[in-house]
Amino acid sequence: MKRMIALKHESNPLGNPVKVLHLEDSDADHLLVKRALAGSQLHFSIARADDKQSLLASLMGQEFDIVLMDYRLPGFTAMDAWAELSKLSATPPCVIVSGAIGEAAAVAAIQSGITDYLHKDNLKELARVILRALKLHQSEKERQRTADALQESELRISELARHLQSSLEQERAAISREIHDEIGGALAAMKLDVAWMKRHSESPEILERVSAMQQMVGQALTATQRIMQNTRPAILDQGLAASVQWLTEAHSKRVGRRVLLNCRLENETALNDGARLTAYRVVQESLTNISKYAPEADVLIDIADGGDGLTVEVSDNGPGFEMTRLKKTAGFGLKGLSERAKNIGGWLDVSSTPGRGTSITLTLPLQHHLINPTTPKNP
Amino acid sequence: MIQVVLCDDHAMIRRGIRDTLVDSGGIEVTGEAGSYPELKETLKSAACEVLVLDLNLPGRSGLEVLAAVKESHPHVRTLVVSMFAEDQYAIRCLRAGASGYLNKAGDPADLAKAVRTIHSGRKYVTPEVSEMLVNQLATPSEETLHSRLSERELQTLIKIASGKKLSDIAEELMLSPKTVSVYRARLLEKLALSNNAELTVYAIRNALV
Repeated sequence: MKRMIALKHESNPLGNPVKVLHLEDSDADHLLVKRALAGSQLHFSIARADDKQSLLASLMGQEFDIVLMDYRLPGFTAMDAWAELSKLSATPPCVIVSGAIGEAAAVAAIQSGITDYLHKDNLKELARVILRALKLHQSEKERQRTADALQESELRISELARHLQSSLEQERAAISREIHDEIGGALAAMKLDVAWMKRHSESPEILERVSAMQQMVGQALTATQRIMQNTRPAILDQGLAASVQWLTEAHSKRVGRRVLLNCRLENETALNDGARLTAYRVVQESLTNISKYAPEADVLIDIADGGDGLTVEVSDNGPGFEMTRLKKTAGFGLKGLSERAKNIGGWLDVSSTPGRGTSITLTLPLQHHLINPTTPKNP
Repeated sequence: MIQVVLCDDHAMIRRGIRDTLVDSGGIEVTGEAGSYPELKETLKSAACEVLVLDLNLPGRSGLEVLAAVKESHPHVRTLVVSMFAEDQYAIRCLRAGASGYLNKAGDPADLAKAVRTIHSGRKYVTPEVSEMLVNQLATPSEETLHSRLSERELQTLIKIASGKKLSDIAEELMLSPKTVSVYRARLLEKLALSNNAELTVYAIRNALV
């Protein structure tokens, strides 16, 4: 019943008797603290430590909900004790209960993480101070848990994104292969046979139809090749330099502007599939954006791998945009690229100045990530 | 008669190619293989002057097979046929020792033309491929050490040489500081220098600042 009454005023967030550890070398002061607590409505148990050894021993022996500390003890201070306490996996909140320690010391104590300071003359406030410290501690723990959960969930999302990305690429490769094997082969065979029929038939009616077929099969074949190229260009297997060259030629043919490709790769073999694909997609997406928003622009692509990092820079001298637009809806494609870069340990720099152009730079550290890609394990 | 061996996993395509070549006259197909191991066997017995090889069969990479055939049968000239357009593979195949490259979506009549051209000892390339080859020739070649630097690297060098901090350089170039430090590391590597002071000296000596 006593507990019920105590809860009426200041509810103890733990619900159980508050386990107090009192670090105090003076018997009289310890007694005073005990008395002050007994006189309050706080349900508590108290243990005492009077030097560093007994403090450490007490902390080893059991867990405490709160530690009250005298500021100056023989041979050490509350700050030294706090340094020890901070090493614990679950540090209890600490309150300095002491004579005057001066403003500077009090501020330093609070800044280092000690929850509160109470002057010895004010012991009637002790129970309230303890409860407040416990509540603060509780909400700090809560905040920490939320932050951890958020971080965990962000990690999961980025793992999911990575997984989606690689499934997408695998799926594309599989689709491209299927089309090649199943459809492409059949169409190529038909094309040859239709040509044979054309050579071996005399009937004008048949020949007319054969000609039509020839045209259709030809169109179907061309479409097949285009689809294969768009899903996953075979040229990717020939390395980054070759595939980027192919992309740039296609771009300058499409928009009729100059694309300058400066490829200074010295060790292409050090790039793994993920790196190559990401670099390729960065160039591809950038060129797509340029044909959409800056078709009149000249483009400069620079790829190099010295200095333990791969950099892929695509810049244009088009109209550019306000960087603030990036944060809004614009540039979803860029967000995707940025996510991809992060997935393999790299990052994307995007800069643009209205009237001067846009520059997108992918950087990938080339030491461990790319040669030995490590997939983080699920917790 | 030009003696030709065909290698393609698609039986219908083999028949189509065979008919196309034979109908054109002067060409006989002495053997056919549906896979690379079969090709190895076929080449042991069949007389072969020109090999028509599909690049993308299951199993080994076609480019490897091309190299293997060149090694074991140096006199055999190879015409690569592929479902992929010329711009994806042609030059690579020619480099690997093929005498010609044909896209399966092309005109079947080109097949016989290609086989004859190759048989006569010349290379066969489509107009698309020859244009690509010409483009590849156009590469510049003057070199000082720093002419191998990109615009950004050069700017980084100049800014370091003018005593700017990495973080300021990053801001001015609108890049993250991490990227600028990759550029810096690359500058040191490319110019064979070891610190900012040497970068500054280099920039001054080469009148970059």
